[in-house]
Amino acid sequence: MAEKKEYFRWVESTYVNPEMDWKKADIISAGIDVGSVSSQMVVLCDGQIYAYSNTRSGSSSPKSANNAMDLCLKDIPGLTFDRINYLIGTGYGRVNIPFAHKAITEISCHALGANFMYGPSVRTVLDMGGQDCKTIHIDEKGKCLSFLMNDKCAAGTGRGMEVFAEMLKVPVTEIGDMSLDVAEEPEAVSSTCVVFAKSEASGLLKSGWSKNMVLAAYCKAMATRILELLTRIGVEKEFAITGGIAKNKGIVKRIEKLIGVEALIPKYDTQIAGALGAAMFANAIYKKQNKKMSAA
Amino acid sequence: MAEMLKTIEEIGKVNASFPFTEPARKWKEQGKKIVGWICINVPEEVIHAAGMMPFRLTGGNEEISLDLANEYLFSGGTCSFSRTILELQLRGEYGFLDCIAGATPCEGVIRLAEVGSYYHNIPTLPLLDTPRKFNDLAYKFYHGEVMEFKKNLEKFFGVTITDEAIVDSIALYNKTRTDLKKLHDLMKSNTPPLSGAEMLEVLNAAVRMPREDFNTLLEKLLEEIKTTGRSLPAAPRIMISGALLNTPSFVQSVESLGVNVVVDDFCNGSRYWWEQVEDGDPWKALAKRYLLPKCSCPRINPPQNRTDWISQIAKDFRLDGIIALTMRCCAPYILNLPMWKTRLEDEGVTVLDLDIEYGGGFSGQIRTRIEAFVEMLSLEVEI
Amino acid sequence: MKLRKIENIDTTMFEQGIPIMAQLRDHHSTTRAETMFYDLTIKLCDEVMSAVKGGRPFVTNVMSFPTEIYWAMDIAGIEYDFIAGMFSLYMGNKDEIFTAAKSIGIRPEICSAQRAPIGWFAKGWFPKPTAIVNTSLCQCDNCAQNANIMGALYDVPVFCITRPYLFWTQKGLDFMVEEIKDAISFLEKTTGHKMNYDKLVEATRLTKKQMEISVEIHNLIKTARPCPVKSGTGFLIHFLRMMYAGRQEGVDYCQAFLDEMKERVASGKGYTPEEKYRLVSCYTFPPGMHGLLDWMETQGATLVAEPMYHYYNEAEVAKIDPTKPLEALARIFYVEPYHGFYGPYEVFSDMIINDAIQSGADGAVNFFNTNCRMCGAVSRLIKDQLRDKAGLSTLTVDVDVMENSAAVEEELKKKLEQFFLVLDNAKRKVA
Repeated sequence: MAEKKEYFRWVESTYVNPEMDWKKADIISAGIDVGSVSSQMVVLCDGQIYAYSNTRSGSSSPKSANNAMDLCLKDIPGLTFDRINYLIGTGYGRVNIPFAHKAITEISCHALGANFMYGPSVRTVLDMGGQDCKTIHIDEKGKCLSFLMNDKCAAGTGRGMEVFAEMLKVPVTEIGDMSLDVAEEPEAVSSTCVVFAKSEASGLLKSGWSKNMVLAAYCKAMATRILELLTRIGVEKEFAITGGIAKNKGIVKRIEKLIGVEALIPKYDTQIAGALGAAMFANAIYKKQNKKMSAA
Repeated sequence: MAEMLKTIEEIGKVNASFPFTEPARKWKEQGKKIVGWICINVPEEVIHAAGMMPFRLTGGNEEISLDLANEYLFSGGTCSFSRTILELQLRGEYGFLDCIAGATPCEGVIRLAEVGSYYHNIPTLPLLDTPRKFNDLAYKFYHGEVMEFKKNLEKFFGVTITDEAIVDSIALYNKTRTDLKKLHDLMKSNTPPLSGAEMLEVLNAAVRMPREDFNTLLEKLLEEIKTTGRSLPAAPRIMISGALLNTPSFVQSVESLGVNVVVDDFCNGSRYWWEQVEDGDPWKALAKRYLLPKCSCPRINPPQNRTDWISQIAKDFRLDGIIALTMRCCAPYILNLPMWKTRLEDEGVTVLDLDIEYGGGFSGQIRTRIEAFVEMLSLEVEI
Repeated sequence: MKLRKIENIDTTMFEQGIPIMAQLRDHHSTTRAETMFYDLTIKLCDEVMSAVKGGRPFVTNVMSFPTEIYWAMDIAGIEYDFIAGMFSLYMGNKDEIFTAAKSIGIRPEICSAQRAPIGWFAKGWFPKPTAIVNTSLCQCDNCAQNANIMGALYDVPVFCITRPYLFWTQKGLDFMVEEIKDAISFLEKTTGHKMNYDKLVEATRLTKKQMEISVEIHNLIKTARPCPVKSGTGFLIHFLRMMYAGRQEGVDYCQAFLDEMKERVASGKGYTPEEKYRLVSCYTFPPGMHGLLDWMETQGATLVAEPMYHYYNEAEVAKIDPTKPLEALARIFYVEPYHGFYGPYEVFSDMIINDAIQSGADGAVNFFNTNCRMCGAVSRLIKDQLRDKAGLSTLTVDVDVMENSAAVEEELKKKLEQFFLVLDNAKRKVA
């Protein structure tokens, strides 16, 4: 029997900066972001990105956190958990990360992570994650000034995208490009609710639409839905996108077109923004605590 | 954590047996009557002067399912506060009330009274017709309504309310207001004596027991705070704003994230106790007081007084932030919030607009939003 | 986003809405009165734009503000909820205005009719008025408050007429008279125009005339078989009367409405080939659903009573005394059946039940507005009362007054089809 292909799969990844040596670092801080779809760990050496991992979330938050850590540390000889000075958990599963020193919401972490990833000029952050979307206004230091969250619903999220990939038998990572490869932009599907959109899509396929056209219609619907969150918070330049859906060009391009503002080009894996922010907080908090201690 | 106050424990016991609280039960056992009231425009003093115990209709300590109420009040439109009360009425949990007194502040409460009186068997007195503004005309109008309410009560129970009795009742209720003000003045301290959750227990008990007994408890509490010197650690200072809130557990969860809830603007909080009944003709004074000219209900026009009042609270209590609990379908609150939110933000107070159902818990997204708000106030680190 | 003064007001969108009224007239009017309705709406919009462009005062109001005052003070005026709702219903910009409203905190559970104008102001699309006046309707939390937001967005003064809940009492009338006085002095101050009381007497006389014709219309609807009025037009006559209160055009419109009905009666023809289902409409028929109305006609379903729009109390209309114009305005406010629906439920449930019985309805439909907390909250109560007091079944469906999509129409069709079966069964039982 042929192995069943899982179209929702995306490549889990790791990164280690070969030019850095963790043994020389004064402070090693880390952040773990346990989301509903994916989990990440970022390790900083004295505030600089040293390593990260990006993996699918498991059946429970502690397990997901463990997976992310195992994956991240496995390629770094000698670095073990005990050597990490401070670790902060974030994301949907943040309170259930057993080895975290502290939990901080994904909102504050994405704000700070985006500030690092895209620079101090970023004012508006759109985080498109596994189960919800957020828009965040930040200042030049990456501090959250205000935020909006959409309702918990698979529409316009990574989970919804995965469901769609399975249904159309299209690898989830190719959806964006395919959706842009259409002769003419179709009308958006009328419902972004995954359940309804699925039946609407199968109707379109039956009536002779190409997969690309259906994907274009779905991506457009998701972009329109996200537009509401952006309009409500008010897009101030610069504008940056974080989270898994930031990798879907089909949605990003359409959002950019709708708001008339281009998003900054990411230099890192957009999915690590939350864990990165958490690791930065960890670094800062550890420094502050040590300062206090040495002062005492 | 600071030591538990004995008086707070005692007060907590009153609320534990809600709705038919222990003090209410004892009152009924003496053959005396209880009048349930729904909106803060209903002058409690009149009920008290008639010899009845006023009892406020609210929801209990947690969110309940609203299956019965949803049959009769459209769940898509009527707020969960009104539906919670109807649910309790239809379940018979308010069966100990001899009658209900309501007013016409907003759509939810009006239709609750009308629909309720058709489907449950607690008699409802004619509603007090409450104007949406305050000026001499409105005072005059409401004076007529208060007099009408007096007559209706007298007729319903076959009693007479004397001027002496109303003056005494006003004095008793003013004493509560004075003492609640004293208690809130203590909350202005950096290290306040009570948590917001404890304060809410106090406010809940106020309207669920005979007033004389409550005043005694309140005095005792003030005394206990003085003698024990009880204080909570300093933390960011916030107000919870909203239509009304009766669940201390919610406030406790908010505070567990590292803030002190030092004041509120609820219908069952500040708006309830803030203003005194003035001297002079007691009936006219009641009419004026119960239109709440200073700390008005969000439905009142023009909205300026309310904005000024909230801005003043923010200064007096040195607020860092405000959580605005927007109960779904509470149109007066939804339409009023933008009128003061921007001003308070411009004055340096962070405001979180949080949609929630009445009695709603502290889970998932609600928690994340509040936590992120608390981080906005307290996560000050040098990156 | 924060609630801030809108710096760029651009009336292009508003002006683009006006020709749409002409398209509606050309495509959907099947009666002379309907044609007049659209023409008069266009005329009012033109008056507004001419005032705005000519620098003359223009005031906008929520439904139920006594607009006789405008006429008597020589001010251009328009109802903001009606016109914003009407335009957005047909212009396809609902998403934009509702997102704009939500941006400043106005959530979707606020009735879309009262949310739409907030959106228009938040977008800067509505012409800048000299002042805004609103009322508490009878009790409508939205009407009583949305003007505050709009006033803040445009930085223009706002005045609210608050109306007692028990409005028919002498005390209620006295209160209203004082409120109307205050409203007039507010308008005198903000517009610089003085009230011409002779003109106000004339205006109230004309409104009374409109109402007298409306009484005739109602009597004819109740008695004539087949029903001489086109289903769903109650909405039009109501809004026209409100917009042209105190003006001759309003009288002419009512007269045309009545004359057309009389012609129908004389010809013995109704609007439906066969009146199989004579229905009382408890609330309002969702505006803009022209296709559904046409379909209902083919099914033999007729709205034979729209009490919200037609149920005038003759004795109360007679009490209106134009020589005392302020008191007359207060009474006019109270006599308007529409307002009763936002008052104590006994008042309008009696209107519905009486209308159902007198017009010989076979059943009732209650397409109440999803976010109307006054009407929706009592939908069950009305259903029970119609069953107990008139022996009628009611189809109750919540519909957003601005949601006229094809999907919603389909859904309503399905529900009506099922309901017709219920009515058929009931008839068979009786037979």
